Amino acid sequence: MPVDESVSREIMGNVPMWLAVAFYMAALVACGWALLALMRRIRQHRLGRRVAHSESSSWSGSVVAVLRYLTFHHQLLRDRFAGVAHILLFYGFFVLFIGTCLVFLEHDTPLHFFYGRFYLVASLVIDLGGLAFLAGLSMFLYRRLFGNSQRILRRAYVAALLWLLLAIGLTGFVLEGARIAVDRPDFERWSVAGYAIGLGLNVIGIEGDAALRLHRFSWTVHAILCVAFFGLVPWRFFSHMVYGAVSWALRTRRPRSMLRPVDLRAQALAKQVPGASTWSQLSWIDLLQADACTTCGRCNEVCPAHAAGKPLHPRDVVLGVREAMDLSETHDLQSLIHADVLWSCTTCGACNEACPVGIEVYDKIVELRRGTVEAGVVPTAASVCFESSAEEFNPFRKPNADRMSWAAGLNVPVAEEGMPIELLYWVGCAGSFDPDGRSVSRSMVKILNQLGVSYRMLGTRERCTGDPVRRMGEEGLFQELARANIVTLNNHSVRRVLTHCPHCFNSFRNEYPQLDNVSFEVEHHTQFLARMLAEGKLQVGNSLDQKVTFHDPCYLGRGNGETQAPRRVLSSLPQLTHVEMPRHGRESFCCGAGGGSMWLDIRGEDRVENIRAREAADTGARTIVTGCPFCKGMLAAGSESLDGAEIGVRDLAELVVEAEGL
Amino acid sequence: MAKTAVIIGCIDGALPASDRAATALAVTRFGDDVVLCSPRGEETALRYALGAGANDVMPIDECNALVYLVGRGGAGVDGNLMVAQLATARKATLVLDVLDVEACIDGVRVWRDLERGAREELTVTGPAVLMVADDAPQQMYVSRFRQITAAPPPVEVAPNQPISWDPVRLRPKTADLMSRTTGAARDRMFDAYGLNDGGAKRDKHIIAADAEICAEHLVRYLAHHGFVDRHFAVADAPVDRSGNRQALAVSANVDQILPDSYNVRSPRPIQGPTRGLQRRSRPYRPAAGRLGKLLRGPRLLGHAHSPRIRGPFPVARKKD
Repeated sequence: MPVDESVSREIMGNVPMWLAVAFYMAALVACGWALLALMRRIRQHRLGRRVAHSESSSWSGSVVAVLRYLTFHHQLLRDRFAGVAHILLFYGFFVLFIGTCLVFLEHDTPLHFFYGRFYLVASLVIDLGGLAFLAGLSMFLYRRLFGNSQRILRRAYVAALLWLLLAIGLTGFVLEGARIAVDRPDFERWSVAGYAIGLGLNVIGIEGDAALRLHRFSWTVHAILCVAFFGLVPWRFFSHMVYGAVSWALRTRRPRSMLRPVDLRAQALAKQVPGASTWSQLSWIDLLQADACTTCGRCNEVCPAHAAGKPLHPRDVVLGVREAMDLSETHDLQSLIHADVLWSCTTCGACNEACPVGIEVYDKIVELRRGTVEAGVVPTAASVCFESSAEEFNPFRKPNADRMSWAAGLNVPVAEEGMPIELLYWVGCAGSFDPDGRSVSRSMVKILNQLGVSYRMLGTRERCTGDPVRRMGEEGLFQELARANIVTLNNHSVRRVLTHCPHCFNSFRNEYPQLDNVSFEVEHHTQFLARMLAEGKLQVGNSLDQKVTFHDPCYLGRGNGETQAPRRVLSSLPQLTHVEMPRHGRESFCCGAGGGSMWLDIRGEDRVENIRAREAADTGARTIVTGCPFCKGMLAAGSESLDGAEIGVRDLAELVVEAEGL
Repeated sequence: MAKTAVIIGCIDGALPASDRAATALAVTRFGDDVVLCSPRGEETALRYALGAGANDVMPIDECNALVYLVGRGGAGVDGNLMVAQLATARKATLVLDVLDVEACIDGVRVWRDLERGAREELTVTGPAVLMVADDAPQQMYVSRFRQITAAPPPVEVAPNQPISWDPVRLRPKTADLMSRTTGAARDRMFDAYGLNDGGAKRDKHIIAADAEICAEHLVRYLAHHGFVDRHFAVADAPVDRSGNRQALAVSANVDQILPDSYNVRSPRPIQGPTRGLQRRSRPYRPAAGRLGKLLRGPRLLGHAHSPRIRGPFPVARKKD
């Protein structure tokens, strides 16, 4: 193996001085322009509102997370094809970038290392990197040209940028091949692709001066394309190369269904209003994330509103924010993101979960909803829900005095004012007023009475936890309801809260601590039932002999990571056959009720609950089991739309009551 | 002079939908220059209106606006009588059950609820008192944050003064008027002004005011429907020493307008210790013309030329 200095190549050979100088000047200008554009963008990001630092983890943790993410691409590999394509593209680009840096160091600094064995290995690695780069790009372009994926953003600029990258890769190989074709030294076999191209050029008669001319031409084209690339880095989806990793590093560690805290007092003192109607009213993380969007469309693919043909396309919300940043600071976001888009969101968090760069789409939507609420422009159904929550403490427009009417004929212990409570059974508004929820409440009371545990309820002193109004953007009303509930719970010195509503569960667990010090623990009834079964306190003997499928409520599974407890309960029930739907666990599909969609009805081509009911029916199950009164009601409605198939909807507590024979 | 005034108040501590809609209409349809009048000065009402965008708070007596938007809570227990009195005091047109309103070149265009899904569009020139319907669409929502951060000034609440408006017909109990929400806006407006003869039978007494007040209402009615010039009805009315408009010369033609069978009941002062439904004896007034023949009241003994209109029919007896 030759190791002497002759085993190398002339860098910038066959390139006249004026062309080299022009290239350096143009590259400098392009990089400077890109840097200025990035700095301008960062200044725009800094105009955004401040958010609490506790949202993101420590710097070291963030760096480790980013390195792990870039190394393994685990989030991207959820879509195997796109993940593999991006791995090839990313590592290919990385190798080419390192190779270019080595060439720069060799040519433009006193360092001298690019020869001999190092040169040979580097040539091999760089060529392989180039091939990987082209392979990844080809996969993306293939899917764009021949694939039928609905999520691809079919805009000319996206295709143009991909073609630009492809042209850079191809011209790089052509100029390498032309260089090798001039004299074809034997050691250049290590440049596997370049040598093959050089050989091919010789075969078709391009050698000597012709190869030199081709080399100069392809170098010039390659240089122009590279300069264009440098300049375009901060533009459109290319900017994800800069912001993507930062966005991932800064992504929240909050539970998915937990919204950011809002300090209304500070906003009032600063003469600000909650929410955003212009881009500068969003948080700086929201703005940075908008620039990190890769336009991959995974958020669209998993969005239930999008699947039902509603006007919401989560990617367009993010791109709308990015587009607004190109306009004036006071440009109204509503002109770019229509109100129907915002009100279609079910706040299921699937978009956040799917995003490969950690963009929190649903937080932005809630923030924009807050903006519309503060502007006073809300759908009538939303304002009715707000007024009902404010006056009757429930969003169902029912008198609060009827809150305990579900318990008629049952032995329910309602706590007296100020009485200490060890275990509070929180019924919630759906459990009190919605017919589907009331049967769940009755089942839970039967189970609790059967277990003989000491528990109490608050009766008419219960108020809505504020979850629906918060998701609909009424932050002030949420905080009012939440603070009132916290005072009530503290007056009773509540130690543990048990609820069958995942929305109440999420509020108590994640959002009430944002407002005040709370000392109680919260347990969802699926967790409680699983615990009772595991401890042997709950005996289930009756055979159910059913084939069931479990629908994970978004606020329980994806939102709070509890996917196993309900399955443990199901596996404990005798002769119950449990089958999974294709989308389950953290990847579950929404029922369509969240985010106030229980009351709002933005029309689409289909209904979210119908889609989910069809998915459940396709499993062959006769019963959909769930752990949320909202899901139960929506899926019951969806099951009525099924043609031919008959499928019932039950709550886990109802199944347990049946198995207990209560 | 403010362009728009919104008069709202609470019922049982909550702001009725009508008052919220009135506030929203004032702010969204008439822009910046909106003044809030809250008769009882409830904090909820003040915060709501100021949060919605009202600029100022002032007592109704000091407020002189072109358009008054009144909610059910703002009208209070006096209900339609309150707005009728306000309209009279401001020489304004009264429209009840307003669903929507917008400024137009002639004044304001008003959409009034006719029930059963029907509505009519009216154009009101000059001052207008618009009582907003309970089911008027909510044009805007005032967030809790806006209400909380609104800083209402201290409001001096005037002592509860009895309503000084006197409807022309036998007035049912105020509570009954308040509870009447099923009637059409037009009927209830006429109720408030005493112009409604709906349900009256020929032998019932429906007018309970003196000729001047009747004439005043009649002119308003005619002006409202375009039979006489509006300015004739409002601006040209002679004013007596006490500031009340007199009944115009139209009173001379009352006998041509009123059906013969209508009886004119005793006059009562609009404001005074004897206001109410009490009956009292009246001095005999000699009959004059056709109208005089219809006057009821004690007759002079032996004065038999006036035919009996009401009362038991004389029993014809055969003379032995």
